[in-house]
Amino acid sequence: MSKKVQENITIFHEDISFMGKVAGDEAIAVAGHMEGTIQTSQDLSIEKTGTVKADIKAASVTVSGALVGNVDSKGVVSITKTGRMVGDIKASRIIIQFGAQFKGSVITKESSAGKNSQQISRKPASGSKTKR
Amino acid sequence: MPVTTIGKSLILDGELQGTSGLSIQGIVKGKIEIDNTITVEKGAVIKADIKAKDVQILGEVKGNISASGNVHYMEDCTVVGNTTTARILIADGASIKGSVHINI
Amino acid sequence: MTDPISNIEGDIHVNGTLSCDGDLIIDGQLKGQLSVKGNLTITKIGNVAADTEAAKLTIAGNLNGKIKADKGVLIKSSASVVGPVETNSIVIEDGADYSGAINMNVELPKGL
Repeated sequence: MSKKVQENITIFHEDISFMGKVAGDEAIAVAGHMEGTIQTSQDLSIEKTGTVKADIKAASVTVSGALVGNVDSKGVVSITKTGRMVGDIKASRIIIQFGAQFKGSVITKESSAGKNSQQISRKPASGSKTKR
Repeated sequence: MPVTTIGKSLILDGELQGTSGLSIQGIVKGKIEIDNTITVEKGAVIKADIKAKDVQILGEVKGNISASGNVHYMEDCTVVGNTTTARILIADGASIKGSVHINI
Repeated sequence: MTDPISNIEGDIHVNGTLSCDGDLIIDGQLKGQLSVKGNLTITKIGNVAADTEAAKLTIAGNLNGKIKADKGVLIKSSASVVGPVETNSIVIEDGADYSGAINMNVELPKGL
């Protein structure tokens, strides 16, 4: 089921705070304060005013506010220019914009064979310059 | 500040607090303290003590309700717990199991 | 007068540290240690396995090593990088492969 139908979204507005576990099957946006764990099969966004201290599991994650916690996503994790994150990221793609602040480790689940066909360990044929 | 609507696919287990309006369509367990209006929508299930200004109940609440303003028990709602409030409205078909204290 | 830009093409194996006072562009293969006072660019076909230190680092190819860049790191979409990276600014474009730690100063708001 590759088609993502983003019909529903729950927005936790700026002066709402929640401490505990959140689990669901819709998009979630956090503009207030949240602590605990957040799990959704859809997308998660931490808005500019959002402050989150939680481990997150979501289809994709966008951090435009502040996040302390680990992120586990099958999709793309983005830290935008207002985003600040401390924690580890497991994702298939990662985007960090200019201005973002990030401290932690990153594992992208794509093939770790590297995109270029050349590898240091696999020396190309002698003298070959495969300029594209 | 706009009303925060907890969607029907969400399950919250913990403490929900705030100063802007809250509408609940999903499941909330734990504690809810909102200095504003809370609406428990039809189909929502609350297993928590609720503290708010006004509470409008269309769904299911298992917990005590403390409101400084009004509590409206709407048609087909189910409440199991004690209510303390300044004013109530009970619609036909509402089900309340517990005491209701009206403090004027 | 700006420092001259050095260029590496081909296959270089440095047994020790390759240091450069100005800017450096790597267009070929390099294995060893890199210390660049200026800006370092690893092009799309560049392939570097080295602990790397530079002012500003731009990677469009492969880089594998302990990376330190005081003026920022840009990992282009065609890049494949294995760190760790220590820097004050980082940009990772969509499509880039990055694995490893990123060590950067993060200012968190009160309450986190």
